[in-house]
Amino acid sequence: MRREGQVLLDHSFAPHRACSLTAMPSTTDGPDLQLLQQRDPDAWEALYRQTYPMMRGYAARRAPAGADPDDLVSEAMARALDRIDTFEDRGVRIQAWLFGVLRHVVLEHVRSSSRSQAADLDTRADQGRGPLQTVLHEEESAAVRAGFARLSDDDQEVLWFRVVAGLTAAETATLVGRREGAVRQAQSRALTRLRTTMQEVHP
Amino acid sequence: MNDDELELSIAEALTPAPVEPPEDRIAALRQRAELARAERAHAGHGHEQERAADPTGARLRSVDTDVSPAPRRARPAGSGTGTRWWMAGAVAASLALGAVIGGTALDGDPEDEVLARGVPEFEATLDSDGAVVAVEGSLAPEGRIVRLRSDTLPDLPVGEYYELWFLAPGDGPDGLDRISGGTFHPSYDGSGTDVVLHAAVDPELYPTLEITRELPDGDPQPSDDVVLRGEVSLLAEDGR
Repeated sequence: MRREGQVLLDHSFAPHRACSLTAMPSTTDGPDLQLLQQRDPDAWEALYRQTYPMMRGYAARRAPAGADPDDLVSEAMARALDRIDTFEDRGVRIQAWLFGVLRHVVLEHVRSSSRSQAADLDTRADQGRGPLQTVLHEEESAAVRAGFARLSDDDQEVLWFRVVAGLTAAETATLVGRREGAVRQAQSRALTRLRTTMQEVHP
Repeated sequence: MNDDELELSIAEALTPAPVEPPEDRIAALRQRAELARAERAHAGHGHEQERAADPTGARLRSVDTDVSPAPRRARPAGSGTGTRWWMAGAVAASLALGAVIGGTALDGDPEDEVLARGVPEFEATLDSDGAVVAVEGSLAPEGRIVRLRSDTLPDLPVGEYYELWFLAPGDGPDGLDRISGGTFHPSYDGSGTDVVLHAAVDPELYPTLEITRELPDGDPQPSDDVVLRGEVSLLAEDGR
């Protein structure tokens, strides 16, 4: 049931991105910053629900072994709630800013851990494909996942932010502390390396 | 496969399913927002400026949240795993805070009025590992009014909380003989701990205080994670 003042969720995602941020509205049309800064519980719940799949997906892939992705996302949301007053609309969406908070939380845990885990995540279900298409698609997806897992952390991160989470190059640059052009270049190189690793695991 | 096709494949292979976050996490975030909103309303603009000038609390919180939680010792056998007790505690805490805030708007400073209702009866200073909590207890018609104040009690991950216990001399590993004095956590804005709890307990019969760190696991029993412990000092009838 929608509560008074609740921010409506945007599920108008791109067809190939079950919960990508790409199709999310800009900061002016998205979550009401004023409500968030007033610590409106409905606004925060809506933001949590809206960003949870992507946040959890990122945390699950980047978290050290033994860390609960839900704990990391919860901690990130708590910190975001504490620090929302510091958020400024400079072309970076709140969702992208949240990724920055989560990234810090994850890095803190990674620094205190010796190894990271490769999480198997539930990805979106196939829709509208025949049996043969589904088999072929699954093979391709398996190759992508296996190849992706062989990439460096930096390559994985830039592809995750740009391609999966749908952040702009400028937003990604803000998160990873690089220039926009460097992000585009890193993305291109990561794609090239992914082709190579996919060939290695599925020749 | 060109770049666009490869990016499409990456998105299809790695995009998480649109799942909902756990309800207890949502409840914890909502509670945190409620508390932050209430504290902001209570503190007002002037208090915020005061805090900005003295960032001690914020510094403490920053340090605390950068540290991974300490490993927890095991709970006693038969512990529950639900969230209803924690949720009930959270709701009760919210209602209590709401009552205080609401009363503030109407009556000025109800905390002082509440404390003024009691006659000072006992005090204690709990001190361990750099954390110091000052406890003051008063005898009141409804039981005991207990005030806890600390600038050094570590912050907790969202969802966790502290619980104050009054222990009888017979309390021990072989059998619990204690009364809960209530649950609390440091202020989320980093300004420390200043809480008033109510407990139907006689400090002469339950003279030991203990503060435990509790998980949001619904277990009403105390955890084994004792943060602070100490004895109450009973005051003379004139409050000295």
